[in-house]
Amino acid sequence: MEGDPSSLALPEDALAEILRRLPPRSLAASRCVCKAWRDIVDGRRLLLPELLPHSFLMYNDLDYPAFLSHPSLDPEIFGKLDFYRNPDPHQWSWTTASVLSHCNGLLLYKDRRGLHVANPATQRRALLPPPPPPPSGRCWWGSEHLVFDPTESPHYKVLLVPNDPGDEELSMELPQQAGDESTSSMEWPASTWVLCVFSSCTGQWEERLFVREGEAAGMASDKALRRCGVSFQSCSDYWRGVFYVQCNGGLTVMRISLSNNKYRVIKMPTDIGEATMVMLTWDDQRRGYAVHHFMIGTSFGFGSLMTRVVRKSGC
Amino acid sequence: MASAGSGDEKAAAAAMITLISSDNEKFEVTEATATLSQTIRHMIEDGCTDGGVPLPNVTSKILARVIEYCKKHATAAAGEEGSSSSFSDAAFLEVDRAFLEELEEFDDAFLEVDRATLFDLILAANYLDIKGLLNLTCQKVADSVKGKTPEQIREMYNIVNDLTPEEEAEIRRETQWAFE
Repeated sequence: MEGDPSSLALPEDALAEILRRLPPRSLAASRCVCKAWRDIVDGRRLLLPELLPHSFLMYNDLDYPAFLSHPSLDPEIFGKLDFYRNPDPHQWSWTTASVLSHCNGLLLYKDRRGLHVANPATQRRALLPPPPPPPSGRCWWGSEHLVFDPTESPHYKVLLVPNDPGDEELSMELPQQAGDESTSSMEWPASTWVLCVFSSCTGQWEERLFVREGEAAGMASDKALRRCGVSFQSCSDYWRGVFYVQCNGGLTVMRISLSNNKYRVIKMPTDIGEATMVMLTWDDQRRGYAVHHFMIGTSFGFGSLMTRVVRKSGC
Repeated sequence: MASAGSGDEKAAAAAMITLISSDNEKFEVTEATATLSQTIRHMIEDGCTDGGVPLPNVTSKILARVIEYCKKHATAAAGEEGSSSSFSDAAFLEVDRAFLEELEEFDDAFLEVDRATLFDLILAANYLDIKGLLNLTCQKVADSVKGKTPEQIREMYNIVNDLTPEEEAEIRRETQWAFE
């Protein structure tokens, strides 16, 4: 109280002046100090909810992407994005746009015009320039993934990651040269993996080389690595400068470090079964990656949920 | 100060302002120094500074420090105006840089006070609406909080945790990313 010289007995205005100078992570921590601090942060909206990490969940049979945000957020953020000015508010047409990826509240989708990044909370969106053509002979760079952490930076990245060796092979139209045999006897992914990366900071695409640490997933010729069916949608997540993306139909997860351009292959347990959605989080207490399986049924909702922890395996 | 217009004789004559602390001590300052405070600037504009400006929320000890800050920064502001409008050669930029460095050193030394004084300065800067001083002092406290856990912050500033365990759990759940 007042008599204690070291206590922070400041009026709300002055305290708010101090708190508004904190970065988001410290601001979030200071909400937990006492009621007065929490009320200042909340009452003055110092933590911009539209820029905070959120979760998205997408269901294959839902009309539009379901956006999950915490109930304390006011106003509520609704996942429906009226991209096409469709007069029917409950119509989301998958034939005109498809959501490719989401990360901490940002959404990456594709339509006739190209790739877009949208923030459902602010309803702001950006059309990305077209990516450069893939290396000669390849048909595409790979699946599109979004990388965004508002506690780190207001800028996002988009990564194009091949799902399996098939994505990195020469396209059919090109004459089958000696290349076919040599590529199939190579490791996958290559010890130096070339990925295409867009940065909202520069507004440009660039090719970036990522050096592998540890073993490859296997040989490019290995049929087991080519499990990427039509129904498989590769999930990804970004956590403290590291990007995790499912490859090989869920058989592997690539741990890609954007700060030092290195990557590592994490092999997933093989007894996953028919899970259609897998999430990977780091479990600090058990020192391992927690693998969350969502069994999604045909009707709305989870069929079952299972979480298990895999070994750290030198990551 | 030499703005043309009516009522100028009065402004010129009253170029000195008297500030009166809560313990009734009087401080004579130039208008340039005093108007770093938006609160006092408004009082001057409203013409209610005759007979001194009473500041019942600020003690003489703190007011002396605030004036010290304002004097230094008022000269800095005047210097900046002069150099940027009429001179642009390298020699002047050099002088400018040296002056800015000196100002930074002054600010650093100014902040070397005990915690109670720092909080009193924040209160005074907030009440008198002195942007630079508020920024300087609040940033100092913010820097001390940055990167700390709630427990460390409470301990550092003797703050009693009046959140119920349920509320605390709720906050941690809401922004789990900040606690991992």
